[in-house]
Amino acid sequence: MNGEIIKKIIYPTVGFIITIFLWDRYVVIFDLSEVVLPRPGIIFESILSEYPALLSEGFETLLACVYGFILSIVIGIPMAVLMTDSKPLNLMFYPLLIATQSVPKVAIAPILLVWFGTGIESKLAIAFFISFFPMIVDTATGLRATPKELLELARSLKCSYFQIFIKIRFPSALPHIFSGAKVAITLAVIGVVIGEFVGGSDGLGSLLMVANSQINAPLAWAALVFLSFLGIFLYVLVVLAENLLIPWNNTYSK
Amino acid sequence: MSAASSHTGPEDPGLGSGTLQNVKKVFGMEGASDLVAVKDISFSFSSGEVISLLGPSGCGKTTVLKMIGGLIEATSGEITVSNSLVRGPYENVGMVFQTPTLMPWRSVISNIKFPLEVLGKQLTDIDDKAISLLELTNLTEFKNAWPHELSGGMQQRAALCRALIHSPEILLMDEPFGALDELTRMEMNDLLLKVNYQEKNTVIFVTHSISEAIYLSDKVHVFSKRPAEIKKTINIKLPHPRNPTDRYTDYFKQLELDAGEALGVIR
Repeated sequence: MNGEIIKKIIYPTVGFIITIFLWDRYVVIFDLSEVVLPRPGIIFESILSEYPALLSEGFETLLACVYGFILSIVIGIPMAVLMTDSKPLNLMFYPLLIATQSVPKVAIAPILLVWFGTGIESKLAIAFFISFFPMIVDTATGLRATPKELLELARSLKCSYFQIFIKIRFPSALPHIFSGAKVAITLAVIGVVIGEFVGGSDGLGSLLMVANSQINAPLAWAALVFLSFLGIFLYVLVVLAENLLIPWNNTYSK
Repeated sequence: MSAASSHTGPEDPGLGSGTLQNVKKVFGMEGASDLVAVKDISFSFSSGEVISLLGPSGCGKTTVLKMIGGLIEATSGEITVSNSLVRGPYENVGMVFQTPTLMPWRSVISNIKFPLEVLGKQLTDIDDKAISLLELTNLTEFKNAWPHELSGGMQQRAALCRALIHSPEILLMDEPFGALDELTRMEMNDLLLKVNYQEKNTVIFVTHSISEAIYLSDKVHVFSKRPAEIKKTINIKLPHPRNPTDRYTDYFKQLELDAGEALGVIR
């Protein structure tokens, strides 16, 4: 038990402290300007003094990420179902789906901005556009990986399509769906920040841009710290949901 | 007293019995010549009997099993089970596969009750049935466990309970103990016989183990290589209930020899 605590908490903490210390020494020894790389302490001070703005902008970003993520689930999963169950739909649209992913996401941001304006809508559109792909692909993989014998059992019991889907295919795809969701939530954060960079008026991304243009490096770094925390927070939420919804999977993989 | 008559089947002697008449199965292959999996199979079974289909891997015995269960349609010929023609899946069948295929997201008891849930049977004495099956298979204390917490043999026992929960007249088993170690396999053989004495359903058992087939069955149909034909039918006249020492009698060894010769592994 004690060994576990040391491994899981003490080691990472020590690693973190060492990194921060080396960073600080590096700035001091090479006499770097604050604009290039602020000392960790200064960033921390900036967080303390600017936290109301960071929190409220962070909340905007958080909302956009969550909405974009939900969109990719709500649209991605049914699309995956359609494409796994209908060969024609799969043949017609799968190549197109792959093609959308070869478009550089940053390049499409200005176009989406024209369509949706500078509000939350364009951020959602970009977040969705980036994050729905892993949702579709992983869900489809999961649905296809349903054990054949289970389907045979269902057939011998004369289950309806709906029963087979609800009772067998969907739960059996859940681990895959969650691995897609873990990628999607990370990508949703990236998408929202791209949206805020390109044309947002609020959110941590635009705060970062503003800080940069004012050559306020500590604030820019503070926004970056908040963004990473936000990313970790959302990822952990998805992992918690996973453990809650598919407890059998966690112990299964051990 | 013949071996088969020591079982007492359901009230209607037709239930659980069946006939296969000149059954043939050809699989159409894309871009290749058709594959004749089953050439011409005819046999019948009566209620409560244990019938083994013994043959080499890939010989088409599983295909025959699935045709009896209505999961695969015969290309020609006729299959009758419980006095009616098989034209697709029917309720009165329980299936056990080579792998337990329990649903990892359901507890053991919930896996076992699954067939009733989808068949929409009323929930009156289900619990009694489930409890008696769990007791019979020594799984009572694991009823709330996750499937992955069970050993392979225990999982297969749970799969057996699942196949029996809706009291099917016919139990189809596709190499159910093939993935288990020898000792567990022998235990499972005795368990299956014990279950069969209590449930009194017909069992069609696919295996490539000679001794397993003989030990369990009233009748063993030895299959040829693909395309499947019945090379020999061996009537097993061992008394019921079977005893593990039966495996070491001269009669048993003679039967093994007969089966081995029919399979072509002993020349």
